Order: sequence, then C-alpha cells, then structure tokens
Amino acid sequence: MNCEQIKEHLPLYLEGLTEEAETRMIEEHLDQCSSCHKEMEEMEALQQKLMSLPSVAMPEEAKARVSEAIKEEGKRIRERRKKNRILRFSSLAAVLILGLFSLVMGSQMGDLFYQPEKAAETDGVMMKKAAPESEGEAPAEEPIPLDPAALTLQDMGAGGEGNMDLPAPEVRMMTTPEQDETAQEETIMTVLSPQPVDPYLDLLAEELAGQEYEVLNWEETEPEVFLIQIELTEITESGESDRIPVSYLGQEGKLCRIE
Amino acid sequence: MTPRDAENELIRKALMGDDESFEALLFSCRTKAYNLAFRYLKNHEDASDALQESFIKIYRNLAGFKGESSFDTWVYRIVVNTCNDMIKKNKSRPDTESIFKENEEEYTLDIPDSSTSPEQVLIHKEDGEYIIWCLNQLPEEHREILILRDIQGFHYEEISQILNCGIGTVKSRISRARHRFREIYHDQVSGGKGTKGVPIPSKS
Repeated sequence: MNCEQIKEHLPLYLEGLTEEAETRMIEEHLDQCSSCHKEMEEMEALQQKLMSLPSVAMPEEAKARVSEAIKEEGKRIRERRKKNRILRFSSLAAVLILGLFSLVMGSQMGDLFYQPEKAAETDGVMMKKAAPESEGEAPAEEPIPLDPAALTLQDMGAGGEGNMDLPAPEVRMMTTPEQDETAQEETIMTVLSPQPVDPYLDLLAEELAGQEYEVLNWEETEPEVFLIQIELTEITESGESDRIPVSYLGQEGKLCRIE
Repeated sequence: MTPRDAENELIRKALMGDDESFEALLFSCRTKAYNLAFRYLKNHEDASDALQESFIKIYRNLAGFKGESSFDTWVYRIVVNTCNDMIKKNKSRPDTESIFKENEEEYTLDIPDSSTSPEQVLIHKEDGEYIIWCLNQLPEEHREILILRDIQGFHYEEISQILNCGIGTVKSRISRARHRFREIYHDQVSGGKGTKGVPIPSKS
C-alpha cells in the first residue's frame, strides 16, 4: 500500500476495524513513514479530544419544562381514554334502553300505537352499531333479531330475571323507565351523534372480529386522518394473555395497521 | 422481573396515560438525549425545545415502539430526527452561531463561519471550544457522525439504528469525517487558509 492508501485506512485502523493482514501492513508502513505516522497520531489525538469533551448538564428550567409537558400529555391521554370509556358505556346503555323502549311500547301502549317494522329497524341499527364496542356482549356472529316479538321477549328476560351480567345502573333504568325517559333520550342522542372517527372504529371492529381488544386512544392527527391506538389481547403459547399495543391509521375511508 | 419486563410494564402504564411511568422510562436516557440535542443544535434553548418536542412525540407514538432496537436507541433516533428537522428549518436563518456563545459570560465574540484570524483561533487551540468550533465547520453529515461516535460514544450498530442506515455507510462516513475534521483542525492552526474555500474531498 502507498501513503495515500494507508491514510485512507487510518480511521478504521484506529477503531481496530481493519483485517489482520491490513493491520500488519499498515503498522509496517507507519514504522517507516513519518508523514503517515504523524497523520495517524494527529487523528488519534483529535478522536481523544472529542471523546473527552465534558457532558453538559441539562438546565433545571429545561427539566421542569419537559416534565410539565409530559404531565400535560399524560393528562390528555387519560382524558381521551375516559371519553372512550364513556362512549362505550353509553353504547351499551343505548342498546338496553332501546330494548326497553320496545318493551314499554309493546306492553303499555298496546297494539294500537306499536309499529313493529319501525321498532325492528331502529333496534337493528343500534345493535349493529353498538356490537363492536360493547366488548362481546353481543357477538358479531349472532344474527340481529329482526322480529320485534323476539326482541321484546329477550329484553324482558334480561330485565325481569337479571340473568345477564349487567352493571347495576342499567338494571335500575330497566325498573324505573318512566322517570328516566328524558334522560335516556338524551343519552341516545349523544350516542347517535356521529363522531368523525366512527367509520374507522367500525372498520377496526370488522378487521378484528372475534379478537378481544380495547381502544385506548384516538386522535385526529391531521384533518380527517385518525391515529387509533388499541391494545390487542393475545393468548401466548404458555396460556397467558398478553396485551399488545397496536396502532392504526384511518384516512380516506381506509384503515391500515402501522408497524 | 427482568429489566425488559420492568420496561414493558412502564410502557404499558405510560400508554394508559401514566406520566410518572413515562418519566421513569426516560430517566436513564434523558441526560444523554439532552447532550445529543445540545451538540446537534449548539445551544441550550434549542436543545431544550428539541428534547421537549421529542419526548412528546415519543409519548404519542409509544404504541409504535415494537422492540426492534432497545428503547433508549429508539429514543435517540427520535431525538436525532427532531434535531435534524430543526436544523433544516433554521437553515434559512443566517448562521452566526458560535461555540463561544456557550459560555456567554466569558466570550462575546461571534464567529461567523471562517472569518476568524488564525491568531484568535490559536488562543483557543487547546480548548474544547476550539474542537467544537472545528466540528461545527464540518458538513452536517460528517458532524453528526462524529457527535454520535466520539462525543456520545455510540457503537456502530447503535449508530446504524439511530440513523437508519447500514453499518458500511456508518464506517465510510466516520472515515471521511475524520479526514475532513483533521484537515480543518490543522488548516486553521498552521496556515489560516480558512475553511469556506477549501473543497470537501470527494472520497466517496
């Protein structure tokens, strides 16, 4: 190797990254060539200088500022999660309330004002909408009951005998329907008012049909672009359940998993 | 519980919005991340901004961490990307940034590029400040690789993950950066040729 080639190899030589034969050749050359030897020493000295630069301390003010920003972000995430839980709870409540509504119509108003087709249609829509978010209470595979009589019977069973695992508030609503009617209507309106992210949550439910998951958070990162963060529960080989964080991006009507 | 399990547990809690877990997760790499940002951006104010922006990005995208690298390496990668974005944005501003600004109480002298006389430079030759001044004369790509390798002491593998490039690229960049750095350092000391007019050797 000539001087130019030796010099070319010096950085790797100094890092100990040259091949054994190369290293031997370089060292033989350095022993004889003062110019290359000098360059090697200079390069090594500069490397040492960079390595020995003291680390800077992060100013206290900066630490406090970063810490504060993290707290704010944590708060935002918790609020989103809370909103999400309320939404899912309301969806469940809406299903029960609509079931109750048909029960009340059926039993109290009698056949005169009862419109089976309309009731069936409304209930069908709600069941479909709520199913993906209600954590398996209404499995997606289950056919949507379109016969109002069947629905009424089912709901009477749920309310009367309490044989479904229902949280207390819904049971209370079942037993005092008249008093809470206005409030219930408001709940339905809240649930029905469409969220821009809804179509993507529906797509997600379709994609993950049969799998257990929880929507942790979603945000509109850009106009009409939604980042949805979920936790997917998977059963490991050893039989333990494992919660895996997964993100989806919804835009232009399509949902894609982000790797 | 292995450290990896402990880390996963902190990640899980942080995903739920537990900011204390998130801070704990970043505790071990915060100082290094700050130093990295400081060397990239050359001053405390920008370094603090970059760190804040990076940490919020990390918090929002925590679900995107798939364990392909270590968590810390993932953090440094985001810090480096944030710094490079800030550098690009600031490019339009005239660069009168000086290493002497780091110790404002001692020096008020601005060094716009290479107009400093060799005598002035010689005064500070043995100072770390002169080393940093030379470092700041390097093209971004060379400066970056020396910050990562020599100042921060990252291994080749880590650098390749942080910069998202192959080990071969890391090696050749380090090699070229060392040659160029030595030239700048000795040009200033021996002849005061200045740095602006000296062409960057094309040893690619």
